[in-house]
Formats: sequence, structure tokens, C-alpha cells
Amino acid sequence: MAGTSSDSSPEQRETRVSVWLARQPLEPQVLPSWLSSYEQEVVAAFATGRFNEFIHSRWLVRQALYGASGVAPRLCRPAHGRLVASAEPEGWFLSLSHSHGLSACATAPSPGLGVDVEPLYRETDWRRIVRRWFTRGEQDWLLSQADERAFLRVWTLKEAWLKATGRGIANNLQTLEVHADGSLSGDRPDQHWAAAITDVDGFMIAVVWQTMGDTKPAPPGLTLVQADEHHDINPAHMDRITDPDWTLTMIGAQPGADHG
Amino acid sequence: MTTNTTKQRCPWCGTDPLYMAYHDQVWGRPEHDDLSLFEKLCLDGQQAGLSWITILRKQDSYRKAYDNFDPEKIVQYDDRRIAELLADPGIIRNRLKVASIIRNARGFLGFRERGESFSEFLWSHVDHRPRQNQWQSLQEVPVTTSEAEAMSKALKKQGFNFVGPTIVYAFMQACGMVNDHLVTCHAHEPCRAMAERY
Repeated sequence: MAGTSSDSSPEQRETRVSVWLARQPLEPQVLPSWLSSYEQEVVAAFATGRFNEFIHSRWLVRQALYGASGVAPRLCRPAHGRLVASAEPEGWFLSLSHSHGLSACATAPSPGLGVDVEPLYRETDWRRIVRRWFTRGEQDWLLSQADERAFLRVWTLKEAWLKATGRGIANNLQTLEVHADGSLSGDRPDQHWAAAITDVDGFMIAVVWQTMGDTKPAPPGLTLVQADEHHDINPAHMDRITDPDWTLTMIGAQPGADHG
Repeated sequence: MTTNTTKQRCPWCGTDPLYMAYHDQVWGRPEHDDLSLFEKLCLDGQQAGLSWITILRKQDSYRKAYDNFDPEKIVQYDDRRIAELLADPGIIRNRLKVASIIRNARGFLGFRERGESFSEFLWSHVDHRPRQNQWQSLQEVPVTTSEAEAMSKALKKQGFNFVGPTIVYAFMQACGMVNDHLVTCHAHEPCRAMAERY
């Protein structure tokens, strides 16, 4: 991570993919007045833990849309239903991930976008997941390396890929294969997809997006958004990471995939 | 744990020592603890389409896999935790069944957050007193009742699933909301006596 630059008043529209990160405050939240009536309806049914996470996520989406478009956060609003696009301002595509107190929101000017965050250290039996869900090739190199960090890279890339292509994990974890040399192959060979992965602050962050024909896409922007305990809807303090250490890879065709 | 094989028992438990111990010491004894009831309801849902002994043999693995059925922990399960559960040979690896425990944990916490007791809610369906039956044979024991149907409906309304009327009736029998030990069974009388205390 090279450094950050404070930027609390974006003046131009962001045309590339960006990831916006914010830590969830520990304080319990009250229902903010800036939630849309639809969001208020959704959140009313939630238990406390999910309630706080929901408020935080919806706040981050508004800050991310502000960061990307320059439109004030109080005027920004995601579309109803699954969080994949903006309603206000129109024309932005979104993906959201939340894990262990960190939220990530990705923004892009075109559809086909997925982001995933995972803490770097977590007590789980990752080998069991590899054996049960990953491809033979992935099992071979992951289990012989016994490197949890490598597993985490593969897992977050797969999660981001499934979100970007609009699918759940059930029976789909093999639709993206991560090879030992870092190359990627997916089951959408007719389209151009890119993946970027890095780690920040104890978390692995992966983002996958459709490049609309661009075979040399720019690396995504990465910005830390400072959440205050009350989730104030004014523009938040943002630290743009000036040189995020992304590993950027185009997703190729799966070996032996039927292109006909 | 002592299980006397010569005792007269409800015939469904056969001769498996684990099943007999469960029949003698658990099944039909009134249970009022919120978390125990939550665990039991979840396990009964896991049984759907299988025999109860299959789940009973896995009970320890279930507790290990699901954080001792701590609903606060279960509601936070993410994709990775679910993928891990679906790869755990100690439990039933069915996507819908795994999802149902998470869903039920949310339903359970709903009670807690409204300041309501899960146990009170369940027991209200039998007016807080275990129903006493006098069955002579297994053929007489129903698979469900109107009370179980009402409880099933109420649970679904609170967001629970895998709680159909048959599952719920099996749950009511096991948690002693109804005494369905046959009159010839040695456990019938002690369960009836325990019910007198309510």
C-alpha cells in the first residue's frame, strides 16, 4: 500500500470500477431518516445484528455512489430488491460484501460486478471446503501448498465471480478455476471479464467485473470511507489509496470448455 | 447411563442402546428451556425424510458443527461457513436443511428481541400443560394434531421452516407437550407425574 490521499469532494465522475471500504461502528444504530420507505420496510423485520449491518451497508452504498458520481449522498439511493444497481443517480452498478465488521461496496458504470471481502485469519477447516467444492486442479495445488492465504485468494475470487455473474455458491464454485500460476478460467468465454485482488487492513478483497471488450482494463480504485457512529448522511471523510496493490488478471476460458 | 433391556418400552425404539436411552431419559419429558427447545426443533427438522436415529447418532456432530446451537452465532453464518457445513460428513449435507437452521435462528432471535419467551410461545399451544394420552398401541398414535398444525402455522409466521405439522408433532412428543408413551411403557407413568407439576 503506497499511501492515501484525502479526497472528500470528488469533482469528476469515476469511469472505472471502484471499491469503497468502511468499518462498521460498534455502536447500536437507530433507524436513520435518510433510508427510503422501501428500505425502512425491509429493515423493520431484522434482528439487531442484521439491522446494524443493513444500516451500515446502505450508508456505505450512498457514500460510494457519491464518491463515484459526485452526487450528494443524501440524494443517492440504490434500486429496490437485490443490491445490484442504483436508482439515484441512475446508471451505476453495485455489489456489496460484508464480513466481520468490514463492508465493501463496488461501483461500476456497466453491469456484471461482484466484490467479496474476507478476514485474513479465521478459524475454519478450509481444506474441507477445498476437497468438497473446488476443482481437481485447485485441490492438487492448494492441498499440497497448505497455504491458507492461497485458499483465501481462491475463495474470494470465486465469491466475487459468482456475484458478478449473478449466481449463488450452490454447485457453482467450479465455474471459475484458479490455477497455481495465478491465471483464471471461467465458464463465460464469450465475454471479457477481469479480476483484481489485494489485501487491506487484515482483509482480502476481490473484485470481478465485465470489461465490455476492454482487454487491458485499468485497475480498480480503492477508497477507505470513514464511518461515524451515527451514519451521518453528509459526505464522509474518504482516503483514496493512491497505489493499491491489486493483482489484476483477465479471466480466460476453462480448459476443455465447449465454445460452440 | 443405564438402560435396562428387559423394561417394557414403546416399541419404536427397538433395541439400539442409544435409542433406548433417548426413549427412557429424554423423549416425553417436559422441556422448558428456550435453547434446548430451539436445538430440538432444528434437529427434528433435519430428520425430514430420514429416521430419527440417523439424527440422534449425529447429535454431537451437530452441536460441534453449529456452535452448540447458539442462535447469535448461527445468524452470522456466511457463504464460507455454509460451504464448510455442506462439506461436513458429521451432519446432513443438504443445502435447504443447512439454510433452515440459519433461518430458524433468526426466528428464535425475533422472540428474544421482542422480549418474548420461545418456550412460553410453544407451550401456549397446549395451554402450558402436557396433554395426557392413553394409547395402547402404536397404531393409535397420531402423526399430527390440530394443536401441532396451529403451532406449525405460528412458527412459519415467525420465519421458521422445516416445521410442517408432522415435524412439529414429533417435536411436541419429544419435548413432553404431549405424553405419547404407550400405557404399557415404563416411561408413561413418570412422564404423567412430571406433567402434574405444571
